[in-house]
Amino acid sequence: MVQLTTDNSYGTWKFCAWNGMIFMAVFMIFWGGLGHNIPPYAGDLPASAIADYFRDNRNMVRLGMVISMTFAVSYAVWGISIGKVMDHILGRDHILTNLQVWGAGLTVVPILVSSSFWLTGAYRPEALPDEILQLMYDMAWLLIDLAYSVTSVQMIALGFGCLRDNRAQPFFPKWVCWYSIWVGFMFVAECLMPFFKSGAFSRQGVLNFWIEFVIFFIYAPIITWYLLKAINRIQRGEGA
Amino acid sequence: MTDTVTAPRPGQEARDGTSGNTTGDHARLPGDEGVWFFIVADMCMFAVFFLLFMVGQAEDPDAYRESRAKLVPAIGLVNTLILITSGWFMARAVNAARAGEWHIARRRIIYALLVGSCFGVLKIYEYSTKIAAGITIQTSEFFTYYFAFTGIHFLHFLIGIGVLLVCLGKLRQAENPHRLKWIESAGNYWHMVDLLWMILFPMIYLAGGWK
Amino acid sequence: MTLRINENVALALLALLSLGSFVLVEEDIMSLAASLAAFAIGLLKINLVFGSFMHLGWRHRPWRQVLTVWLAVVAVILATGLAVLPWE
Repeated sequence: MVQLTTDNSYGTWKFCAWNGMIFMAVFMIFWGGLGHNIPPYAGDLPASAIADYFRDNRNMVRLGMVISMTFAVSYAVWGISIGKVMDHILGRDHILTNLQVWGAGLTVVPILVSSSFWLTGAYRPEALPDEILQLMYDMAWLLIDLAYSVTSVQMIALGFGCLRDNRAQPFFPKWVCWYSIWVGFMFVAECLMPFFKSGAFSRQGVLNFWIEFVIFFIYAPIITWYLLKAINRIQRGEGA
Repeated sequence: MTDTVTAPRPGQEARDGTSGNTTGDHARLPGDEGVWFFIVADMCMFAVFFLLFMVGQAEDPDAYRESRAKLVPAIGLVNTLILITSGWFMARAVNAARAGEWHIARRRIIYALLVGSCFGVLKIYEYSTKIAAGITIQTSEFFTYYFAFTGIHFLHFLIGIGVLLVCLGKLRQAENPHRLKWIESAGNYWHMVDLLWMILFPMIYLAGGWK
Repeated sequence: MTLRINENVALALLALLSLGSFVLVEEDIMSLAASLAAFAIGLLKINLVFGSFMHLGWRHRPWRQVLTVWLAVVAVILATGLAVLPWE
């Protein structure tokens, strides 16, 4: 039986759980839409094309990245709410729970930092040479793609941790746990991204953008769905 | 097509709920359902790889055919035979486990590991000869896909080796009620590694023509 | 159809089929028929593995059905990909 404090603040806990959806909505609309990152500009485009992106869309990119940076922390908040459910599965202070929480927390870092690169490019693009703007853009994408392993740690820890749920009806069904493990593992294909400026493995490619980002975009809603159900069950006394 | 029923030997007890029936005709899904989800997801990803390769080949068949001619299909064939044999040992290991013959199951997993490891050795040899000849992942689109797809497959193979090693440990635990599911799931994953190669081999090494 | 046979027979069949696909294509490397046959053999081998090694039967819903759809989709991808190539 997990010893919890008497004030479990279920309302706050559920709000933290909803941060997963807040993060994804902000990420898609502001980072992806306003930031023109869905899809990214091709790696084999000339510097002038990237410079034009920053110069022609500076305010949209600024707004997109400001909101993206503000809400990046939502991913960590979400991870903490997942961790509290994992406490009910694994007992308090289990190593897999710690890994999940830390993985979610560290995921905030590349999102924050890469967004700052896009923001910097849009801050005074008229004063910078095309190649510098291209550099900012490349830096942003290289960071956000190659920092995948911190998120993989979260996903794999979540998956293996929640597989240990011995309830007749586990908080997270097996397929969700294995989906989490699979997505975390699939990110390793991003290792090929720096070697290609065109084709399936480039930052704009079928594999390293469309498939990798789609499986990530649907990850948070799936986890959040079962997370909220779990919190409700715990609130009803099914947490033991 | 016949099913061969191997009854448990007299006095043999299956300690973990197995019926002693070693055929595939179980109502129960072999292995863990969650692992099946992982297997299907991975196979779908490889189907995308196959699509990418065939589309790329259709767009530039001459380049693909010239690149294919630089491979040695016999290596691919030997690797196919290695994985098939390793898979056979694994299937027989599962049969032994279902009959409660855990020590035999462990032995067969070891054989599966020993034979399977040869795939890794040959793959590394093949990669190194290519690289020594100046052929890398950036040489051409064919070789991008060759290194990437066989490389990702190789990663799955390495994970499979790890899974089988862990499985060996799990089978020692007589008190573990899940060890049958463990070996079945490990076996299913290992067979997935095998069957993906059954497409990769003809797709990369054989079919489509050479120049 | 589930191809479920004794594992020893399955092993022999799988090995023969593998050799067969290799020889077929080596004999006539620019033959569409040989390439198609190589893929067909690969898919047949996979079906054998489903039944005889993985012991996955039609009662194991939805997994066997899903994998059959996978086989069909892959077959279409491979066959179409070969058919659109220029052959001698």
